[in-house]
Amino acid sequence: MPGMMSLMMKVMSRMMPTCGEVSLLTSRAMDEKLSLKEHLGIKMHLLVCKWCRRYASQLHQVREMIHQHAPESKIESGKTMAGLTTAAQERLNRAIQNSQKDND
Amino acid sequence: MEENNSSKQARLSDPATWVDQHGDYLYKYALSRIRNKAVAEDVVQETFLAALKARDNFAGKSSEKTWLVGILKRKIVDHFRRSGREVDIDKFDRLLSEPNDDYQTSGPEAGWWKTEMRPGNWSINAHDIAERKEFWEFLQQCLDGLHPRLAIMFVLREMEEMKGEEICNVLELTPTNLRVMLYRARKDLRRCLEQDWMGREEK
Repeated sequence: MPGMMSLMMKVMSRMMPTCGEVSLLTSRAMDEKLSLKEHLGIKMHLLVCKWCRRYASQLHQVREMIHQHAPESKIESGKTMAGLTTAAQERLNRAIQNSQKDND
Repeated sequence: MEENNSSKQARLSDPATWVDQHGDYLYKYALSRIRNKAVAEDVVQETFLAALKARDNFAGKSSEKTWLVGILKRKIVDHFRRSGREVDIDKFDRLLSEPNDDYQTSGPEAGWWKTEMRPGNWSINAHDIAERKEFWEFLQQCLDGLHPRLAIMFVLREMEEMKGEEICNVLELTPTNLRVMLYRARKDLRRCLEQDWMGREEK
């Protein structure tokens, strides 16, 4: 039944968001709960679109990597960043001393 | 100060040792968010001074370090709130209303990826230490390349893990505004990482 098929395709494409819309929905889904319609729209689109799948997975990879590598993370514990210079340590210590004197 | 030396306070160490004990940690934390050494140092100093003043309020429910980080986080948000005000809003609005050139604008495939703009294949090994270190460097560079206001939104959401509602309150934004900005920040950042970090071998 080719008629039926093309009708289904038409309905699908009517309901299916475009890549541009999906990229916005992908970002929103990282911050809030989507409506059922939006959620289904994304699902349907990702089934057929390799590029948007890749886009979404990369955004999640970036989030994941940030959590793993932020200086406060247990894995990294700040190894990839340089700490305070000696001069900066001295400045901070002086500021604390002065402030304590003022308060006393 | 002396008469307040209750058992509560005994849990905090001598402020003269704070820089030694926590300075590096707080500084790296601040620097990863703010990406400016001088400003990060200032924010750490503000944190220590605020902590000195608030010493009597330390309830000992969390560790000294956690308590200091809590103060630091507020100072970072304060800094972003101040610097967010200095942005040229008209220019920023224009940036946000630029047409999105990732997608086709006409024809039967309108709204779908332009061939040359499709996301590339990222070949990363998340367990490779060197790659991770590199990721962090590229991430910071790419954040610097974003519009400063977009970078602020991204940092508050993805590093400080603040909820959208909190960010809207702090920066006086509407939820719609924030959505568009986070979308734009992620999109631009992804593109930058793909070009700089993934394309590093070819360069």
